[in-house]
Amino acid sequence: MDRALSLISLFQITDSFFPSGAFAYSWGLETYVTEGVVRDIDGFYKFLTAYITGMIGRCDALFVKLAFDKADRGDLSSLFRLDRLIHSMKLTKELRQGSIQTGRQLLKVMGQLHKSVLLERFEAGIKAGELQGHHPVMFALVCNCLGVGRDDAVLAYLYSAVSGIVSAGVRLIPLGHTDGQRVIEKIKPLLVEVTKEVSQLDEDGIAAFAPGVEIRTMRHEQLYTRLFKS
Amino acid sequence: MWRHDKLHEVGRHGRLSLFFKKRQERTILYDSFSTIPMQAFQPFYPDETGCACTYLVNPTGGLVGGDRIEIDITLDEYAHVLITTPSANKIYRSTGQFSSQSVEITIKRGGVLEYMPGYVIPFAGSLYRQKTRVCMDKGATAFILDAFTTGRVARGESLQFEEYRNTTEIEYDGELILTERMTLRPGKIDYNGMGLLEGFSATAVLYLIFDNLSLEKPLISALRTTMVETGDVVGGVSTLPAKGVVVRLLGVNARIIEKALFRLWSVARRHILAFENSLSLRRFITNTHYIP
Repeated sequence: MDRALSLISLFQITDSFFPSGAFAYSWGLETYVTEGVVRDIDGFYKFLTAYITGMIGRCDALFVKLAFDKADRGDLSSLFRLDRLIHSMKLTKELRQGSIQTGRQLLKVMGQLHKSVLLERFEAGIKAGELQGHHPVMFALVCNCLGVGRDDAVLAYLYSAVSGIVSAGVRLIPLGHTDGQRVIEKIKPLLVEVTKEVSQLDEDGIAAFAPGVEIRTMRHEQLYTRLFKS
Repeated sequence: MWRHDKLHEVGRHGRLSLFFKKRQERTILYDSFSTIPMQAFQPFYPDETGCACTYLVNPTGGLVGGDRIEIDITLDEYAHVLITTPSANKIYRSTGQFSSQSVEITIKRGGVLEYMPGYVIPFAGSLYRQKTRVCMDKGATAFILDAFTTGRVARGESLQFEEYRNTTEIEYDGELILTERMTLRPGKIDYNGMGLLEGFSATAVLYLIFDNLSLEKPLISALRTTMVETGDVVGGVSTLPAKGVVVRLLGVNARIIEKALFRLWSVARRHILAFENSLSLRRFITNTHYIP
């Protein structure tokens, strides 16, 4: 496929206008803001760094890489297994529901625009209740189908995660839009570094450790008033 | 899993295998096997439930580099077992070899396992790998506790270990329902930062796995009420991907976290097993001399 066409497809699926539903989730941030722990740009940047390094850097981002490789080989049974594995790793309701909802939305929209056996098989598996359709796996599948390069897919995944959280931060803390962009600017080298690391890892490298964030996604379910889903 | 060249083998290879069976009103230790440095105490029966309580003991006090422990626990149908340890699991400084512990648990239909081991203390310079795998039949119940501290905190030693790798997997009726995988390598990442340990030196997770969806809501609400909010401990409760509930805690030290765990465990016993917790586990009650 034409490189420019692949690239513009990547813009399309990472655009905040794309109806993935990702912007309905704050991934623990809303609890931190309510608790008064995150109240300015510095606190927000710390939260975002922990989310990338502890929560998704060696987990969701690595799943994008692994699933992309499997999709390249048309290895459907491994893709199913990766979807089940990541499902078993999402140990709080907010993390799990957010990943499933955004993954299924992406599949639903792109499945209608592009013919792909892999996408169809996942749609059927989800319909039959055998698969979940977690976001990292669906993102890898869609990127593979659009002719996007693997490492570009990982980087784009991380970027869209960051952009979603920054959008939440701007509304919750609140931050000015320029401050939002300042945070994105500052976090960019980390996203590049994580993408490089992930490209060298195999399934054995899957790991996550962000107990603080995880506890806040649990407590989000109990918040009296909230803007975001859990 | 681990291949060792005998000539270069440094550590000890401890094996422990326990098989529990329900006999009339009581669960008995039907068969067991162990090699140094692992041992299990003969079960005792502190209450009227017939639950067999056993301590896993490492008389050498901890693991040195190269030590590998393999523990195998099987509960036959309707057996009820509580497993704990009298003290923390200390991982000593290593000169390059990993210490490892692998636990394989099988729970048959109707079996109930309360696996509440002491926390792990990874000393400065230690290298540790832990894997806990639980296979449950339909209708089985399990409480699985997993806790560690950042080091010998009272001595000011925190996050000075080389590597701490921990995996927990739970399969229920042939389906993988829970995976937790962490690899901590202090130095690269500031684990005390927001979102991670946040300056707390003890962390614990308690998985409550049971086959009764109607228990879930009242259990979660009772656990949340029990989780007293103080500056010393923060925690959360949520539903697992299937068949249960997870409780995660961060605490200023192991004693504080074990106090909170004891209350949460009692709630779990009342709701899931339908009996009041009359157990007075030494580790939970007078644990002051186990503070690292």
